[in-house]
Amino acid sequence: MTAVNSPAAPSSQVGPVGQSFAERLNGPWHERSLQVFMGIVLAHWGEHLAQAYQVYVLHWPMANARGVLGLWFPWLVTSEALHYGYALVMLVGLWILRGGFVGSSHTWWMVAFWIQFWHHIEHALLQGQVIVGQNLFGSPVPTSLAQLVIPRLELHLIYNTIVFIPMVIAMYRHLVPPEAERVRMGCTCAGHPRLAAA
Amino acid sequence: MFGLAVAAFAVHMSGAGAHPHEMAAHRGAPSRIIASQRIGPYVASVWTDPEVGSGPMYVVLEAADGQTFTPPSAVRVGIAPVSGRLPEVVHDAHAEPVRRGARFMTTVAFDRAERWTLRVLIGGSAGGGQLTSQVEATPNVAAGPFVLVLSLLPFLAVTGVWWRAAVVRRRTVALP
Repeated sequence: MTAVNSPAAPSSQVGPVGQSFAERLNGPWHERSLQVFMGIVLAHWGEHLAQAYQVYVLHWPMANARGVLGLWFPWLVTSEALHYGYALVMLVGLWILRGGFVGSSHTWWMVAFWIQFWHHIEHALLQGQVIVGQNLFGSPVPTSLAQLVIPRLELHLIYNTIVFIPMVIAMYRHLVPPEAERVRMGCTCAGHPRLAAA
Repeated sequence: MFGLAVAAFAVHMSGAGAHPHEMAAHRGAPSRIIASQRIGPYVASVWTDPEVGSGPMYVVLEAADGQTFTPPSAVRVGIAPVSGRLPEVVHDAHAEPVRRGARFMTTVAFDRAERWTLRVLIGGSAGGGQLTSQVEATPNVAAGPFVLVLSLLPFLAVTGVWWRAAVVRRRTVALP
């Protein structure tokens, strides 16, 4: 992880001509890509918000409080597929959109990525125990490492929070960058490059 | 790296023997409340994650020294509040596939955060007996209503960042 990303395309070269898909995602399409990605992230938080509302405001039993999607597709919640799929989407999104960030925003974005990477390792550990048929620490169920340290808290919320915080800082530094970073950006997230550099 | 990630996801989606509870990655890990106690021809350990509402209860059995392992015919788990406000409820535990010994699982209901008496009853042709312990049931979301606030913060944070960016962008565009 480096604090300074590889130089993005100069402002005058922003455009789809001759760019690979990854370059476009981190150049002219970066703003829209980040919006979509943030939409997915907020939709996930929305599920947790709905679940918390069901429990603490509507006083539904915990077993019935399955958020919004879980009301129609209960298996999404109970099978863990939703959690794991989201963790994977987060990991991929953080990785493929990293190139558009420069300077300090890149640093914060990569902090979020590496935390999410560890989160994914935890899931892989669980998967491995199921596949091998042998659980860690003599436990009757597959156990992740963080579950040993924080045995009773909502680890899922904790993980998503500690990934989200550096993400938001990165987004802020990316959308409102110092001038020295703005001129190195190859995307339109902080305004049109030519106007911003004027 | 992403090849591995995709492979792991494919394995997950294929099932790979994953039981819904086994893959409850974000639930607290069960803790051992009875460790390697001799009961008849068995050495038994009991694991649980006693959340208010419901809690899994695992009874893990191995052969005692010098004994041949013969699975018990029935394992039952009885729970009752220590306060005595409710009568004991006995649950039949079902066997789960394991490579060595035997593991029985049931889900018990804790309707209130308080101390509960636990009885494990093991019976079979090879012998059996009873184990007793106590366990404290705790709220299943330790953070409580804080979760509601926590889940709201991302929306506030993103709104704040978006608003600040919009203001700065407007100023930038307005520059002569």
